[in-house]
Amino acid sequence: MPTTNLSASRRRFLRLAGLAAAGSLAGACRPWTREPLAVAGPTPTLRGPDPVETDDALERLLQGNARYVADRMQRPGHTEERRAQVAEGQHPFAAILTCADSRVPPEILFDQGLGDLFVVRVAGNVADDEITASLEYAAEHLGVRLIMVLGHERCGAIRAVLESVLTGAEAEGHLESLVKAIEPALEAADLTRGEVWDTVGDANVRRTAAQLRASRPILHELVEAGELRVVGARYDLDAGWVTLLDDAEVEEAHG
Amino acid sequence: MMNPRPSRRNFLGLAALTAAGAALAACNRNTRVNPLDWEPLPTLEPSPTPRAPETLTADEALARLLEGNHRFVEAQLVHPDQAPEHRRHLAEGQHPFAAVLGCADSRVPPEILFDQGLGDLFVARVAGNILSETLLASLEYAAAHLHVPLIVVLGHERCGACQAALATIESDGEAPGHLASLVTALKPAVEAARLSDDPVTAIARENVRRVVAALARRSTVLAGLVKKRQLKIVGGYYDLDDGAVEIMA
Repeated sequence: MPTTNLSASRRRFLRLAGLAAAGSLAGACRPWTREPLAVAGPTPTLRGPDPVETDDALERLLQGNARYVADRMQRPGHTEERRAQVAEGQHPFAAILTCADSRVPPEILFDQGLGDLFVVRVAGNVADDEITASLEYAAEHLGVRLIMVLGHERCGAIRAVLESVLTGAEAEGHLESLVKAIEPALEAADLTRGEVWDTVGDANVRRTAAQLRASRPILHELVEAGELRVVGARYDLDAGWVTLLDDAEVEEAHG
Repeated sequence: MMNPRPSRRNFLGLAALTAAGAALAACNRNTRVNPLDWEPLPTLEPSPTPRAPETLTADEALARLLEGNHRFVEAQLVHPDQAPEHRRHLAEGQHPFAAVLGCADSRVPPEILFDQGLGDLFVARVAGNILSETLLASLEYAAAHLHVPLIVVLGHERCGACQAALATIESDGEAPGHLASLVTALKPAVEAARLSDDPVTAIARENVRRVVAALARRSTVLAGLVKKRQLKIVGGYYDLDDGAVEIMA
């Protein structure tokens, strides 16, 4: 794993190498061309005192997702033994920031159990101060080395914001906070490609991930030191696949 | 969209978005368009979010949660609603029967503790199960748009966020980065409960009570639904050792 004394180019190289490894794991790494993963694989176990490296964490997530898609879930860590094992402290191997939508529970779609995933959920997977603080706690205090920002198809929050913006209608209640958080993604989205609703959803994931990588001082420093990776991904509600959206990270690494 | 009454926006469908997107895409190539300048495009397509086929009362929703938690405690999990057919059935819309505001702690996943599956629970999670503007917006969305009859604010034993907030305040210290926002959110509960024999437990419980009260106080949308008896907001506390969720009075 890269450490703080590595040169910027070396870190960049390692990150790209990491991406390539993740890419081979995830098939073609594109939602539309992705090959199914091999379903076999070790039963995930709780991480020990040493941090789980980002690539291992990503692999563990994608293997769990493949089991879920294939309807071959192992449901690790749902037992009384695991509950007793983690009662005094948690050592999750990854953190997930995803939507509050009832169809996107990370523990189910990654086939994980008690103590495995630190999970932050808010409509539209946006990152306000309290959400960012939660992820800082996961990275700095619990030592997770992977944060996945996970959006999903046909997100109701994205839709509500699009409708509010398109109609010019004033957002009711606290929805305005989501409009403010998601609207920049709408501007950044390439609306010439694909279907608007999901295109904005992907742009929102990329923007949230970039925002977390740039968040000073804690997350930014950890990313710069090669001790944390923030990836974006999208969940397919129909097929159940989680697919990495890695373009933004590649561009930033080149940046 | 957040309003329980039918509103004009409810009649705007995806077709409008797609059409607007295509129209905008043309503009987008040359000039940056301010989305706020976009004109509304009326359409008759209904919102794709279906209503729940069966609408539970708050008490029925709570009973369903507690039955699931009982199965978890007794190690009799049935893992409902997780098969591929169920996923495909839900793909076009969700109708969860309850919303949960819980902690991001890896040991407290509501779907496992309540033995529920895909589409059952709308779940907001943040360290210390506190409120922020976007978390309030999330719960308003669940109550006003998805019509959940019940919101459970779920705290838990040995909460790291409560411990950290207590330690920061006791030492007159300052939390680094954005962590200060968590300390600020938990401070009233810390001040109220720090002198207890078991301060971390007392703070976590006090925080749940305060968040339950704050939801209706800070949100007129939620307060209106509570008043009309279309929504109940309750507090819960999860025991990490025996796995039981206690509903707090």
